[in-house]
Amino acid sequence: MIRRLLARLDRQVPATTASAHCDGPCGVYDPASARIAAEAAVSMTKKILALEVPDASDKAAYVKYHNTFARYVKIKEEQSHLCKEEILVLWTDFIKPHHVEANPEIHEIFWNAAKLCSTVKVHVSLEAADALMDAMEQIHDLFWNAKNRKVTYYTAS
Amino acid sequence: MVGRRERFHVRGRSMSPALPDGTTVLAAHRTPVEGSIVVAQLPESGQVIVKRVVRIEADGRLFLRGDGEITTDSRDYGALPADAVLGVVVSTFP
Repeated sequence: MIRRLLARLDRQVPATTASAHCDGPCGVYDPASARIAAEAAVSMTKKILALEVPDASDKAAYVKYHNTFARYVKIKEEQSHLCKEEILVLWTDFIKPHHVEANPEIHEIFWNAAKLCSTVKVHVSLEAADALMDAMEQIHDLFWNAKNRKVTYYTAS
Repeated sequence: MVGRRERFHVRGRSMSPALPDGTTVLAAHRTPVEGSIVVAQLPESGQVIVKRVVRIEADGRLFLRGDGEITTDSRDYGALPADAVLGVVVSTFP
C-alpha cells in the first residue's frame, strides 16, 4: 500500500537522489601502488650497480651486458616515473585541505617524494633509492593516519 | 514535500544495511545529533549525499561517515558545515 502510494507520488513529484556511493572511480586510494613502483626502481638501481662489465673482446658477453644494462635502465625509468604519478594522484586527488590542516608537513613530504622519484630516474644512486623508500614509508603513515586506520608498513622485497 | 519532510532515493551501498540501495527516505528539517543519518549537499560539488553523523565538531561542523566499508565521506572531504544538511532521515521505506 505504502509502496504504491510512494510509486504514485514518485511519478508526480520525483524524489531527489541522495548518493550513498563512493566517488568514481570508487575513491580507492592506496599508497601501496606507489611503493611497489618505488621498490622496482630501487631494485633496478641495485642491479645496474651490481652488473659486471665484461671483457670487450668477448662479443657475446659484451652484447649480453649491454642488453641487460639497457633493460634495467628502461625499467628504472618507467617504474620511477610510475611511482611519481602514483604519488601525484595521492597528493592532488586524495589529500584534502583538512588533511593539510591536521598535518602541515604533507605538501613537503609529497613534494620531496616526487623529487626523489626524479632523482632515482635520472641517476643510479643507492642513496636516492634508500631516501625514496623512506619517503614511501612516510607517505604510508600519513595516508593511513588520515584514514584513521592502522595499517602496518611492509615491502615486497 | 510531505509536511516539512522531503523524500530522497538512496543510491549506492555505503549506508547498508541501515539504508539498502534503492531505499526511499523521508528527511525532516531538524537539528542532527551524533548517530543521525542525514541528507546533505557537498559544498564543493553540490552532490546530495546520505551519511551518518559520527561526530559534531567543537565549531558545529558535522563529521560524516558511511556505515559500509566502501564509502567516500568526511574522511575524504572533511567535516561539513551544519547548513549543508538538507534534513535528518526520520523514516525509511524499502
